[in-house]
Amino acid sequence: MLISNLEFMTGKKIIKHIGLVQGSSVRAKHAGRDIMSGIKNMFGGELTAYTELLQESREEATERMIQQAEAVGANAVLNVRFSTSSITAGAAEIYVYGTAVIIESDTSTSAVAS
Amino acid sequence: MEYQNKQPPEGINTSKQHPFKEFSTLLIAALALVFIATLVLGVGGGWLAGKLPISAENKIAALYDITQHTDTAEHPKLAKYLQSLADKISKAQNLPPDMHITAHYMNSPTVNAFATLGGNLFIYRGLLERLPNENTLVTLLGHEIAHVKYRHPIKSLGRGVLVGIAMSTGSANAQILGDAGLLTVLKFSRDMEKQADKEAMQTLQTLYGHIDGGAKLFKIFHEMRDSMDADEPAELFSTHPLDQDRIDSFTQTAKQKGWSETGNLTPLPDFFEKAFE
Amino acid sequence: MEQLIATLVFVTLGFFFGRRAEKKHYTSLIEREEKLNALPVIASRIPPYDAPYEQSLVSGSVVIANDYFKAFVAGLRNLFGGKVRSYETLLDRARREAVLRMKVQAKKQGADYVFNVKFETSNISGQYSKKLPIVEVHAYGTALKKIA
Repeated sequence: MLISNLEFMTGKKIIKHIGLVQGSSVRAKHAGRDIMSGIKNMFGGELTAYTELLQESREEATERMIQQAEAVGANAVLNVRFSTSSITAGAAEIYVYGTAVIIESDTSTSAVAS
Repeated sequence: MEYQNKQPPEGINTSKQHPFKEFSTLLIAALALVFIATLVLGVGGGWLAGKLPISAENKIAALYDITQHTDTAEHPKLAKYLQSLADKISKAQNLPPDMHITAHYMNSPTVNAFATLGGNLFIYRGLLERLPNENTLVTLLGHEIAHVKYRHPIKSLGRGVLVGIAMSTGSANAQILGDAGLLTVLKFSRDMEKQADKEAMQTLQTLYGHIDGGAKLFKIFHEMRDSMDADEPAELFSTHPLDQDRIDSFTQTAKQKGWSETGNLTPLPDFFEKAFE
Repeated sequence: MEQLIATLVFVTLGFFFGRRAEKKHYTSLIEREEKLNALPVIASRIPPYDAPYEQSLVSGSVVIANDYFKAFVAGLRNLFGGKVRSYETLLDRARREAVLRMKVQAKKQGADYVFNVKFETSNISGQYSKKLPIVEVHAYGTALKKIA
């Protein structure tokens, strides 16, 4: 699956747009990590626990978006956007969405994307 | 270019697991966590507090001028009598030499008595008025002095402080979990009450050679609740054992140890009733 | 004690009513999505060049609150960490509902496509509902209507 936040695939022609696909994931870290991060917060610096949390979450959301794209028969997702929102204290949602498209697989006949 | 909407199948962005399953697993885990934490912190806090020397406890208690809030000075005769009984009981219970019991009289209709830090006993008029004889009064004082002897006030404080700190740092559902933790703490204090009851019985036996009049104390509490139409809380949620259980434990202990349940009751002195008029 | 009972009651009520509402919402979502399926919603910024189009901004938004049961489970989950499953359906529903509302608006204008769809999610819980998250999802895009 090709994922891009451009609106076309360079050198490949988009045959068909199949609509919106999206993936989301809500995660929380355990209280121990929350407390440790709270302490660290006082001194500044990177909160590794949360970096990890958001990274895992983002991977899962992307995975889910790809699953949706596969299910509708797409071979690429274009114009992908991420958004993060805090749903409740300590839990964050990662949301990713894009357009599922079918692009031509043969590169020899490639033209500039329309 | 062709544009078309294809609906992705359901269930990619949501989990199929039944929500109740997650709920029950999490709840059980959380309760277990809280239970263990409270137990560890409670027992640990109580144990640590119990290690505090008695002289240090007395110093802490001396920081507050308790006599200011009591009505002991109004009834010197009564106060002297209560204090002499307390001294007699202290001797019978073999209190450590640096543990001093001070009885305080409170002129209030509350039916209550309690022991606090530094061996200070507070006895309310409401309860004294209802006592039929000296034996019952000795049971009451014996029970409260036993709390002091086993250092229950300072231990409770120690438990409360540690558990309280832990609870206040908890997040989201701390309130609910705090309640669950409280149930664990209540269990500790019930054990303390039972220990104090036992000691009070022993005191009665030592001083009078029988335990008659002891169970009467709990009957008074029970009647009072009846008259107030207040239901006794279920044992799980109460700091004290059930009244009936405590009355029964007197009979049981008497049987076990071969103590007499009947005997001569010592009347209260004449000035006792007059003091309340 | 009273608080424990109250919580239990709220959790039970939240579970049954929340579940019923969610099932109903999903049924209606699926039904309406089918009806509006003919109108493509595209997250791309490049419109089709085959004909001149009239364009206008369309949007749809929805505010959904979580039931007590879900909030309770999420609170517990916060203690142990991991996937907060109870919020997944909430957000899924909110997003699909927002897209549907946007589509309805576009359809009213007789649009052929909705392009450049974007989402905005915000937590609008107030001071008194910190434990019960309220989420707003706003979907917006450009409706394209072929000029005959």
